[in-house]
Amino acid sequence: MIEWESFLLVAVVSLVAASAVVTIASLGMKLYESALHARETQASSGRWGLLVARILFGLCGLLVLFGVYLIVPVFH
Amino acid sequence: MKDSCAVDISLMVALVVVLALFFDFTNGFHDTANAMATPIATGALKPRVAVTIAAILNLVGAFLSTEVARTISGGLIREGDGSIQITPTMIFAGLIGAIMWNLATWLLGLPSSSSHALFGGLIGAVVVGAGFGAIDPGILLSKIVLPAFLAPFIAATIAFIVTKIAYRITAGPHAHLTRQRFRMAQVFTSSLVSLAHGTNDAQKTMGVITLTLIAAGFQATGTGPEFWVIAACALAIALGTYVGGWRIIRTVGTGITDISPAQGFAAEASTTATILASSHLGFALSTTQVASGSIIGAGLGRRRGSVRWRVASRITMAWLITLPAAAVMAALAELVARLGPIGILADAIVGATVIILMFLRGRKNPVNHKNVTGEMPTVGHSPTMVMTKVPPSIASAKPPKPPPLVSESQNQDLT
Repeated sequence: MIEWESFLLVAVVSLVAASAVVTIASLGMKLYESALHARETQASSGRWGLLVARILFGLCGLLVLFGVYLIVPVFH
Repeated sequence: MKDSCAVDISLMVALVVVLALFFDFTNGFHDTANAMATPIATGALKPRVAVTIAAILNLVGAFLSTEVARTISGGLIREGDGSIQITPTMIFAGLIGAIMWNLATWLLGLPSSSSHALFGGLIGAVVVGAGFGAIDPGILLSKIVLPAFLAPFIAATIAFIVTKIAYRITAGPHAHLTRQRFRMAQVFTSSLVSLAHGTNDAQKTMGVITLTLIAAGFQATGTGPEFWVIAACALAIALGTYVGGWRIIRTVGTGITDISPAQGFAAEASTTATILASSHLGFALSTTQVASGSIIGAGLGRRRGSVRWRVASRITMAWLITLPAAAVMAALAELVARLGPIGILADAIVGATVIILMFLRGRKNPVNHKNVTGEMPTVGHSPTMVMTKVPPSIASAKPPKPPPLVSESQNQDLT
């Protein structure tokens, strides 16, 4: 019969992974946009915001690479 | 191979190879929507660019994963030594059923699982050829029927939650501009879905061809696919993907809900995560069902977002009848094929005629890269500029009222 345990595992892992990617990407984009806006209005240089946003985008990039790693069978 | 003795075996194998490659082609254009419907709908990618990326990634993916399963049906049919021998004729009839169903759903613009169509076709042909005892009902239930109910539900729930997360985080003074930036991110998630598709789906056709060659004695038992099989399958699925099932892309991208870049990204992140988790943690889910489920979830997750339930329920109906419908068509084809060479010729002629008729019917109201986001073909309008227009045929499916159908608090209970 159906393996409920593996189904639950898939459900939980998918939820955690999707939430992590979306949270990191959304935070990155919000910081990036605010930093750009701050720079435009000369409220601040926005340097830190941009830096953190880029780090978050880099994290997203790593997650994409991890996805490629999972997809390509040669890697594992 | 009792029932195929009357027909020259190499001719039968050649027929199966041609049909399998054509099925692979329909699989490609049927599933372009899974990865590319949302980036096309939000304008993240121009339609032509989107299908080109998807085609290339499917081509690459097909070459990356060539480990063919030991059985065609993954245990669904009691095949192998000492039990049912699936003959090339049964595979031929099964493929006819699967192709017919894939083309019929394409004509109706409905995303349905190509794997279910293939399994359904094989089941129908084998039941006629070898009786109901050839099917393992337990595996049918646990690997096909129940996952078909669970996949869209789980994907929709995850997409609903992550859409909420995306909107909550990006809320604030620059919300609109921030959310438009998700278009860039969509390119990555949809590319991952395409690559995963290439590694998974082309492999199925390689398996069908290889196991047919082995059954016919043209290839040693236990060997992997020949290079020409890998190359042909990769090219067929890539070509199919490039041709693009625009009707299905339109339904998935703009028919279910009016999708924004943030929703599109949330839906694709959910699809990618669910597909990768399911293929690595041993609970296979249909990509098509996961992708459509994610879009429904993303539609519900946005405040004032809404889902056209009539479109969603048509899609659900198509999912539920895919396997039996392909099975019935394949069973008929197998019945005729059992008459011998004349039967197989009749199958081939009827099959080819129906395929041509369906393509001609499709040309009457064509959907292509120009009108895929909802514009009518005569209107010269850049498709990427139109983000939320709904084609009249889909819009007639009664667009829902602006207030959410389910209140936020109720929705939270779903999780």
